[in-house]
Amino acid sequence: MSASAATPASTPAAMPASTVGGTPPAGSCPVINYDIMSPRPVLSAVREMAELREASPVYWNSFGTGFWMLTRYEECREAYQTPEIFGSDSVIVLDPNPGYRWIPTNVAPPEHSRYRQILNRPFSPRTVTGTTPRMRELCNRTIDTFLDRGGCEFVADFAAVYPTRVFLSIMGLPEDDDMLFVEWVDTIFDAFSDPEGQARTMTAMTAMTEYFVSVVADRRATLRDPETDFVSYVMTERYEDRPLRDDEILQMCVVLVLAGLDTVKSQLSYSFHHLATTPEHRRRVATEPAVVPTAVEEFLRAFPIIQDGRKVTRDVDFHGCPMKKGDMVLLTLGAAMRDPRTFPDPERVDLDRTANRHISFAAGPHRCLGSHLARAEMAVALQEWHRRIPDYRLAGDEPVVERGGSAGLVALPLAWERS
Amino acid sequence: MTAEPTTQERFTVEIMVDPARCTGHGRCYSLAPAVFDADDDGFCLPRGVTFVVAADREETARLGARSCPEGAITVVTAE
Ligand code: HEM
Ligand code: SF4
Repeated sequence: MSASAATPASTPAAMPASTVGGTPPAGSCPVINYDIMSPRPVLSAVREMAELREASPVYWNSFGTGFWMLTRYEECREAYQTPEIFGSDSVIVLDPNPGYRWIPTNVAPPEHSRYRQILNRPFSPRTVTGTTPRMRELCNRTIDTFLDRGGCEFVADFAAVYPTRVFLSIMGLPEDDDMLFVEWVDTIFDAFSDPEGQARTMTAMTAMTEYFVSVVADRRATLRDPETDFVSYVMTERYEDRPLRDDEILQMCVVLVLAGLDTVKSQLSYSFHHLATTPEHRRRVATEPAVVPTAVEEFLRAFPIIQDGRKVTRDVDFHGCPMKKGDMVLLTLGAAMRDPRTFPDPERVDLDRTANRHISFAAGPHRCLGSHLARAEMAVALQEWHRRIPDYRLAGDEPVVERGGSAGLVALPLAWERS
Repeated sequence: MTAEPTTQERFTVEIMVDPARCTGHGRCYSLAPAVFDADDDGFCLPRGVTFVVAADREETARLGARSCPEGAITVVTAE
């Protein structure tokens, strides 16, 4: 990440665009300097972003290397659904010129849809439904490791481990490798908020890539059952009229790890923080498992963990803001998913919310590949946890802290009565 | 079936799923399985054609439409 932490945090809001060095003219758009990186007390970011949303639908934010911010639902969805203008050459606003091109994340239509045609099947609702019994088993085995202690650090002991085990099972990789992945992912994502972390990120990325290099070589030598082994499956699929190359398969594997583990962990951490601090919702989830699917959707809406980026492909006037080719745009989902123009009573977490058309899994062609899997993982976690630990509370006196951009809780100590 | 087509039409709703917009969020067939189905990749079926369901499913169809994050579903009440 090339975040320049040097930008003074004291830049006054709404200063004239012409005085902001090196930034594009913001037209009628307000200019701010809003920090999307620093950790802060839990749920600060959604509150801050809500204030921004009500004051303006679009901003120029001079934080880091500078980027536009869309704060409302319709504008975010429009950007997602217009990939020819809001491109995916970079999806991280603080890193406009990445040295990689990930499949499928950074690929544009029509190539993108050819890759997705291959990738959709192993992550389809039907495939996911078939793995739910196994998910339950892995969830319960994770709970077994701390149940009798009467407490755990939820993020490290549960939220990091259980999705990793499910992921390895879906991919057909050995379950004993779970702690390798937990550590790689922790290292990579911790380093995002630590300027000194780049070297550690590189080491972890290299180790993970080497891991998949040997998996790919192994499956090239002896193909396994494509129904249960992801790498064997993609090896038997075709991109138009050719098989996939090893480098493409490698990229897909790495992207799946980066997109599929820390996300579920972060989403679970907010969901369980909410439940630990909201007794009536905790009771409902524990006594009424049928509410879980709508609760999952509501947690996704109320606590969006991804503030997504897009890179403008040509000069365009977007709702009065003069965007230039190459500018980065933040789709501020933390603001947009609580937009009262779309969601009635948006600040209320409503487990029965109907017609919840949140786009926390994005919209448009890059709609989260793992959305059906993530939903199932969350539903299973909520059901199994509350079956076995129906009542619990925040433990310890330390304030709960979230990463910048509401990208998950740093830690969540929980405690319960031992039976 | 003895009902005349004209009578039948009055008791149906037309539904259309825009194939260019549907990206497979799966909200429609999860919430309104009586109206929408899924293909093997998790995209809505049918899409790209207008189809008709009995009017007593209109509310269900509309719930599906309102829940679609892409705004891909149109529900039309027949005249
Ligand atoms: C609650 C958990 C999750 C959330 C909130 C989430 C959210 C998102 C979002 C917003 C995007 C769009 C990114 C962009 O286009 O810039 C995305 C893409 C993606 N997600 Fe997820 N995700 C989650 C879990 C997962 C899981 C479990 C997997 C797979 C194992 C996964 C795999 C992917 C992949 C491969 C993409 C790239 C899709 C593409 O570019 O076509 N995600 N996700
Ligand atoms: S909810 Fe919308 S995008 Fe999702 S499958 Fe149904 S029609 Fe397609």
